[in-house]
Amino acid sequence: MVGLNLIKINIVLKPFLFSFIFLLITSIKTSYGQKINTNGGVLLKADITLGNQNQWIKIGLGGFGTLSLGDFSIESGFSLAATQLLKRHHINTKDRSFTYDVFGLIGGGQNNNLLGSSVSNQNHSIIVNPYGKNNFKGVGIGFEKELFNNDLKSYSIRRGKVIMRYSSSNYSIHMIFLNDFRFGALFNGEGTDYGETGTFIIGYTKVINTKEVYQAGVGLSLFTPQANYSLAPRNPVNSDDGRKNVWFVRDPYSRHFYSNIYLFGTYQNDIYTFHSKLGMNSEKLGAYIQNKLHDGFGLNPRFPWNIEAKDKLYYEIETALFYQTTGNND
Amino acid sequence: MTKLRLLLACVVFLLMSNCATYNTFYGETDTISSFSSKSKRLNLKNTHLTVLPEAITNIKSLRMLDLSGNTLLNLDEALLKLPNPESLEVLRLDSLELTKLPKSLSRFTNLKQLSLIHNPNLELESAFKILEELPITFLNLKHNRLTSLPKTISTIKTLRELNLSFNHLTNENSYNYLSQLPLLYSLWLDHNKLEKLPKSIATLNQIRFLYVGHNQLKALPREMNKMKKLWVLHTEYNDFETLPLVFIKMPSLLMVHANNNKIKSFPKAYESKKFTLKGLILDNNPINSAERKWAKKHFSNFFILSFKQKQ
Repeated sequence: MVGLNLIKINIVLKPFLFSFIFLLITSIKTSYGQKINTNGGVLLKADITLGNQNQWIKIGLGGFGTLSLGDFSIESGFSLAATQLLKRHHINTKDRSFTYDVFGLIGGGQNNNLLGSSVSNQNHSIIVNPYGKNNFKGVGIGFEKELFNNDLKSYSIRRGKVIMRYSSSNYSIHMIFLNDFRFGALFNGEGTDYGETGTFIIGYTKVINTKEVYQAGVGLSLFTPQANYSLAPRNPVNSDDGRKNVWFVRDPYSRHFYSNIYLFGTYQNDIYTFHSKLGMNSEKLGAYIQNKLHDGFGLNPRFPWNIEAKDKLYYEIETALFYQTTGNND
Repeated sequence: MTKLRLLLACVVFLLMSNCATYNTFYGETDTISSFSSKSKRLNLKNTHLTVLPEAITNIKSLRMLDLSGNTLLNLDEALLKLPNPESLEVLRLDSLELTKLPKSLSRFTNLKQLSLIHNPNLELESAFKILEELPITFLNLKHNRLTSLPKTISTIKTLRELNLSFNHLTNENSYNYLSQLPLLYSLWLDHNKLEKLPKSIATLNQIRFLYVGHNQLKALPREMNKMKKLWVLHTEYNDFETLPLVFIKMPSLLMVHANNNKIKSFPKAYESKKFTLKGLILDNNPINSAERKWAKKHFSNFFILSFKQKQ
């Protein structure tokens, strides 16, 4: 039992190893100090989020660091958070969750504005060095997981992600694709095909002045309940009039589907972050996207999206107080 | 906020309104009491019709029609009465006690899906001759007590998906006929009381999805290694006691659903051989913890591997 716990602890801690080592490197001035430029920052925050799908109070820690040698750069970040939930994925709950998010990118340029921290999907407060003016273009991977304790425990799904980022002087553009599928060693999802399976985000972040940053973008996120593999996939809902196989799904969350397409915006000064999302929850859109994937290379039967449901409003408002500190050896 | 919501709604609407999937499947389905000239989908199932309501002649662009269960309906007359037949893509004619298909079916020149469930007395040879003139991509022949298929099925060259569930298709030649359908993509043979699959199933080297769940299979023919394009195999609710070895030799196989079998162990050939399989559902099999551990180790690169047990 003790051995099992040690293994579990090891699995949980392993994702941070890379980030910790990296942040350590960025804090050490090496004998190649003239060539290697390092930048980094850490952030402590507390936030409250209110919305019609999610409501919570959260405390978190984030870190981000960059290292560049000539025109070659790498950057990495992490977020940790402990959350008291009131509502998650539409479900009213008193569950608590622990979240981690780790990512790393490799590319060209000298990314000293730290805007790479804006690609975190779990932490919307941005670590920034407003004096950094160098550019960066790169690609990366990462993974994140929200571990629930009680009623949502079966929805503790790890998702892998692919990140693309371009940054120049005081702005950054990023694109992130998250999914729970597993593909080799690089794309490290849970491989379960339920829960918040797929997310796609495009964001633009800009430093306004030494104290203010904003971010804007669009996102798409899909959530499905857990398929019941014990039942033959003959659910008539979303079956194209009996043509396609459709899973039945497990209770108690069998009607919890969403497909959010939204715009998001973030304003941050040196004390607080205000982040909001506004969009639509369209089961038709979710069905359309997921059916295309599942009918083709997704290989699995469809999910019973209610394709006759009317589209609904989706909104979320988050306010966070934070403290951040940054450092560099440029 | 309202403007933004409207803008988003417009974007989604524009993206989807021109989409055939949206028009054919995602719209509301009207009934005998609610349909109008704008209806796209009309469900008249089990409404004891003898003739179609007169107002149906006003419908401009019907995409789906369900006439199932109306055994008193003169189907030939009813189909002749429908306006704009070229718009219809989906037609459900289940449980109509059909013995033959009406010739008026040939009016529906864009008909892609036809459901003929629970019509066990339907004369298939002549039915398929009518269908070969139509762009049928999906044919549903569930619950028709079929033990064989006529050769004429091979003339429906547009067929991509064929559902033969709840029959008893044991005739070897039937599979040879199906192998002559160049576009056939998915084949359902679940609930066919099959104790073994005929070797001729291996001639279906064009299909991607094969559903043979809910039979009494204990093994699979080794000839299945010739099914070069098969991606997904559903073998749930059979009597397999071990994971079939033939999976190793199937060159494109990616996903197997093998839940609710009697699988206790895995052939150790999976340790040393290379195979393409990347997803395996093993829920509700009597696999002990040692075998499960072995599977997790040797299938660690799978994108999905599930062992859930009934609570």
